[in-house]
Amino acid sequence: MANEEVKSKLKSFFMSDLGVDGDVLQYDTALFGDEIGLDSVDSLEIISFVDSTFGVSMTGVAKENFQSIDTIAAYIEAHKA
Amino acid sequence: MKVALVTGASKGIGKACALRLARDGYTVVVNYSSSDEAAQQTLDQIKAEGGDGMLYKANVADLSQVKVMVREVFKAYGRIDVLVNNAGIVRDEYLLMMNPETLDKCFDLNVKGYFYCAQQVAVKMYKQKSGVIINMSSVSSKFALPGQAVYSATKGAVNSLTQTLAKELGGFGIRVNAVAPGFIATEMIEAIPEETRKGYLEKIPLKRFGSADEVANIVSALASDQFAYVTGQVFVLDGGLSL
Ligand SMILES: NC(=O)c1ccc[n+]([C@@H]2O[C@H](COP(=O)([O-])OP(=O)(O)OC[C@H]3O[C@@H](n4cnc5c(N)ncnc54)[C@H](OP(=O)(O)O)[C@@H]3O)[C@@H](O)[C@H]2O)c1
Repeated sequence: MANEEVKSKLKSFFMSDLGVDGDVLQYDTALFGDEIGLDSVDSLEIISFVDSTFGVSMTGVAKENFQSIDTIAAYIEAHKA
Repeated sequence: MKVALVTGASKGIGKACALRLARDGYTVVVNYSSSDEAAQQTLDQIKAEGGDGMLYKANVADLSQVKVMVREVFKAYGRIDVLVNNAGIVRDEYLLMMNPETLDKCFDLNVKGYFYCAQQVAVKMYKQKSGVIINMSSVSSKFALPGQAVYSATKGAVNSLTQTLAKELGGFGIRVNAVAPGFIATEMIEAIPEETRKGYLEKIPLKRFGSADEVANIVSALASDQFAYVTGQVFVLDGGLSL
């Protein structure tokens, strides 16, 4: 899956499942900052989505990897089978 | 199809739980770390009784092996409904004799292993928005026996993590409970010297050791919808030992 496709799937997930406003959400927007304001419970949603959609486990992965769509996509790219 | 993963299911309490859950209609994953023959016997018995399942050899104290195991089980069955965190060891040592390896071994399996399995399985259960995790604790977590400081501490940790995970995961339809058996007649008990065993029997109001099947009865109940409103609890079955 091309990186762009991964990012676009992640963005759709954030919009539909976590109710994030698509106009505000860019690929480099801080997910846990003031603008989007996701919390630690949402990280479980993200881990579950990445696990079931891309087959990549993000359990126990450092917080930096969850910073933005860009960083999550980079992690997926680097770890997918 | 409902799927149960039982760690340490080649012998003793884990084996009894695997057999019981299979009778309850679960497809059972029999995890173990070294006893190939005993594990095969567990699976053979499940199948002989009309049940189904698979063997999975993995050291649950090793996160990377747990990750692969949960992934493979999920690949095979597409879901995990029940996790019985059971694989555990006891190493009795008085404080002044205690060595760091004992401490590491016990905590690696009895505590870290439970965390690893719960974490990897919870990701799958989270997606399903349902699941039951049952942690095998021990009466030693509540009742002090000299020489069991390390074991008791690991089981105390199991009780605490049970309560916290119950709170963390409750909102996602996942229940987490613990079972704390007293002396149950398994290899673990057979390893205790005869004299000491006799001494223990005297302290048990019901004057006998429990059976692995009796532990499996509680595990079966906790896994079922009959206990759908119970989470974060530690169920003691010890013949009254801790009273
Ligand atoms: N028996 C009691 O009186 C009693 C009382 C209270 C609590 N408990 C608890 O109940 C649980 C089971 O005890 P038990 O008496 O049934 O023990 P047991 O008869 O010694 O059986 C232990 C099981 O755990 C497996 N195991 C050991 N290390 C493992 C590892 N690293 N990874 C995966 N599996 C592993 C063993 O399989 P392999 O041989 O293949 O490695 C075996 O199937 C433990 O957590 C124990 O603390 C027991």
